Amino acid sequence: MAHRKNAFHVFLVTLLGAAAAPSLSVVSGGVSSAAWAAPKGTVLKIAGGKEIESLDPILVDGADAALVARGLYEGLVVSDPKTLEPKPGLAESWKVSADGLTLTFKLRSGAKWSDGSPVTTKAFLAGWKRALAAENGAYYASYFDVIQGAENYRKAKTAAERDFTKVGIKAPSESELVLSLVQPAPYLLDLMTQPIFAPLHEASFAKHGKAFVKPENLVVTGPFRLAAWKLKDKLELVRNETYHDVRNVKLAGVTVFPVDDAKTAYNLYETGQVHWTRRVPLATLASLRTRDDFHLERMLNTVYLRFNTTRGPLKDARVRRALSMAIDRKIIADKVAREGQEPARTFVTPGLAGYTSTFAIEENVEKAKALLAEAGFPGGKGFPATTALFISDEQSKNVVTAVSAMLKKNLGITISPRNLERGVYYDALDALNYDIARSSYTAKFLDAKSFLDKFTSQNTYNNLTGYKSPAFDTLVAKAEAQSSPKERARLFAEAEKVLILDDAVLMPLYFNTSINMWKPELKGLHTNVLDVHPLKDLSLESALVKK
Amino acid sequence: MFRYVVKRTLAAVPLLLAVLTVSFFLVRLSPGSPFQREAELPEEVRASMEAAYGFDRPLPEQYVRYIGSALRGDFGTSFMYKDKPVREIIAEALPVSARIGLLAMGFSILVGVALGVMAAVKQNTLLDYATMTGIMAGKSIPPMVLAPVFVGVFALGLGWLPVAGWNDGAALNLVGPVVCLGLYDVAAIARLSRASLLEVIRNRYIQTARAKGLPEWRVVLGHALRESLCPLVTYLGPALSSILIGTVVVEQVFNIPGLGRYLVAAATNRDYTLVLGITTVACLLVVAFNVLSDLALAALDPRIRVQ
Repeated sequence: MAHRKNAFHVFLVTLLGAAAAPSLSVVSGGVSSAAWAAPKGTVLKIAGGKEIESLDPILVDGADAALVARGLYEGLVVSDPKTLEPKPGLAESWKVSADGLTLTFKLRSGAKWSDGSPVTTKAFLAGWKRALAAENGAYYASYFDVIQGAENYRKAKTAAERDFTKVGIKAPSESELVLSLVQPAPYLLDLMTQPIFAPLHEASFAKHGKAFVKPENLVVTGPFRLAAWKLKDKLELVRNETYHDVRNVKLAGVTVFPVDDAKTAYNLYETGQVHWTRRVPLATLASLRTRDDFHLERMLNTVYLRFNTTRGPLKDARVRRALSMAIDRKIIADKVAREGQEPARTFVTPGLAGYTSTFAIEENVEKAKALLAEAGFPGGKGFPATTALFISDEQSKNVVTAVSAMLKKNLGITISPRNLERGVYYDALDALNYDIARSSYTAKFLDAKSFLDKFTSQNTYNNLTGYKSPAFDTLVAKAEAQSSPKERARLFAEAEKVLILDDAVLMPLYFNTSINMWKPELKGLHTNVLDVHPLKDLSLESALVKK
Repeated sequence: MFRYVVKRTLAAVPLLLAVLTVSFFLVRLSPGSPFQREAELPEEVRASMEAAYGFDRPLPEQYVRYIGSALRGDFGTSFMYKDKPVREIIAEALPVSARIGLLAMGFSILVGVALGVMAAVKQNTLLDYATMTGIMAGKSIPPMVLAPVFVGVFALGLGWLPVAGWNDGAALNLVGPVVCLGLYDVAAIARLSRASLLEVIRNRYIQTARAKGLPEWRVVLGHALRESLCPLVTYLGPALSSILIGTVVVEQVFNIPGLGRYLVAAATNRDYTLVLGITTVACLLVVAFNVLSDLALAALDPRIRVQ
């Protein structure tokens, strides 16, 4: 009997111990596995968005990853935090030839990696070669296509075809880099601020392979080093003391908390656990707009409906134009999307320096009805059942439902909103197995090309509408080959008119906004149309005062 | 008992294989791919990636290769979190889920058993009715509702607790997730304990204990409670494994880096390797906790022999 009692007591103790054991490590406070401990004091805390998928510079994707990556990797050029103008980074200067086809960069003398070794042009050759190799999976390898031979290199099917010496990237010395372009590219300097153009620390990569991005292995050129990275918990950066401009880096460190839920991000901000949040819940937006710490800025992002031009009534451009004219975009932006967006009657966002769209979609229900009748559907009669796809999220659902309701009321046609899981949605787009689909596009660089070259006939993997127009293709090609910025802008504007007004391949709805809230003590942060915020320029004023 | 443990462990192998097989084909046959994004990959990049991951091979061959790696504990690299092997992600997330899950279960057991015992001892009194009504009300509030309310009251309102975050498992950061998760099971545990205790205290040996003049608290806690815990132990096995993996909402609201959030994100993004890795862990946990549950049952009740 005694041993039965003991067994029971052992059971109870085990059960309580299993519950208590985790809490013992709570008492001990847990241990950070940081490679370097983040210093106390001037550490900026940010509630980011979704978790960063990779810090490999050639795989960085998304605004949240770019925020951190720009702090770790400085390339030849960096962005001005206010104007987004390209400024010297690791390149102290550059020259552009008169015909715009040759760029020569001079590396800053004394530039060092975080391990103290000097930065040379070899590192850029290694990094860019790695970005162009298709097996490394760089999403944005096509950014290099404007450089001679780059497109052939990345598309090469055999080792013989793959010859980096044929690519127009040369390093005549350890401090000089020369790029030879296929055509003038005024946007290239802006593009080169992206992490994919970062140099590669070859010794670290040779030693660790793909594990070179781990905190204990990563060697960087930027103002910060990676101290620790725990997925879905936090990412810690510390100041890089070998950075060439470390005197002007006022933050000792940055901690980014990936937060999926907008309400949680906002709560962290309100309770002072973070200095800066990049997300707020939709429900609180109206009450936040009047606050001084609330910052709304138009982004180079357009939300639109995409038409499948290969099937059904939407093959007819008159039908597409009719649909595009029959909705009220102001209601959709103000009453449905409700995040301070502006109605979009063009595709390229206003605010792109040096570019102005030459048209605006006319919202005119009577003209839309007439067009639809001309196309064979008077009063909407005979218009077949049509669906509009969107990926499951509240705002997309509301917007697509609102558009469907407007088209029903104004044209008498039935468009059924259909919510699809993400993978199924992309499959449908890939296979052109859809009628209408809700999409959005964010420009990656400050040029109309970023918006428009997606829809050429050759760009099948981004076009996803079946649209093929020799006129549009020709205009885009001519614009890209232009060295005169004015003529370039004029040709792109003409191409945009063909795409949106004449052929109505896309139905722009609204231009998205970026929302940021930051504490008054955070200085150096500015809103801009790309929502790019170099961490180097930030400081926490109260921490400086304490010193 | 050792033979029993070995036998149950070996029996888990075909179960694990079956779960892995079904999961593998389910994820691979569902529409979409891990390389899909709104801005599509260039064709040559997609082709290279598919070759690198073996997607260009016939599906049965991919299956055999995958199972071979999985049985060696190598689940590959996550498609989403490209810098991290799946093993590393699980090694970081599982202890977090385990800590919260075990604490939550401990909380549920302590509170649930206490309430159940109290209700049973005071059967058909106001205290019994109030207790049962209260716990049923608690059961009706799922964690996805309770968690934001909890944050609103204790973090934002009273300022007693942090709003969210893991903070290396600091005590204050654990309170919210543990209570919100644990409260849901309190009802089931309290009801089980009450019903089971009511049955046990009718036994003759309990009457004998009372007749011998033992105080009531010793009769209940020292004699009746032990046998009444048997149904609870049977419930705890599966409950514990589901609490470790199924905590998505609480992890989301409190921003906890646990396994639940990974599983949902992995499924949505067709991260095949991560889905399969977490599924394997979930299967192993179910088996492990069921075995532990059986062993605990045998320890509690001498009439049960593990065979």
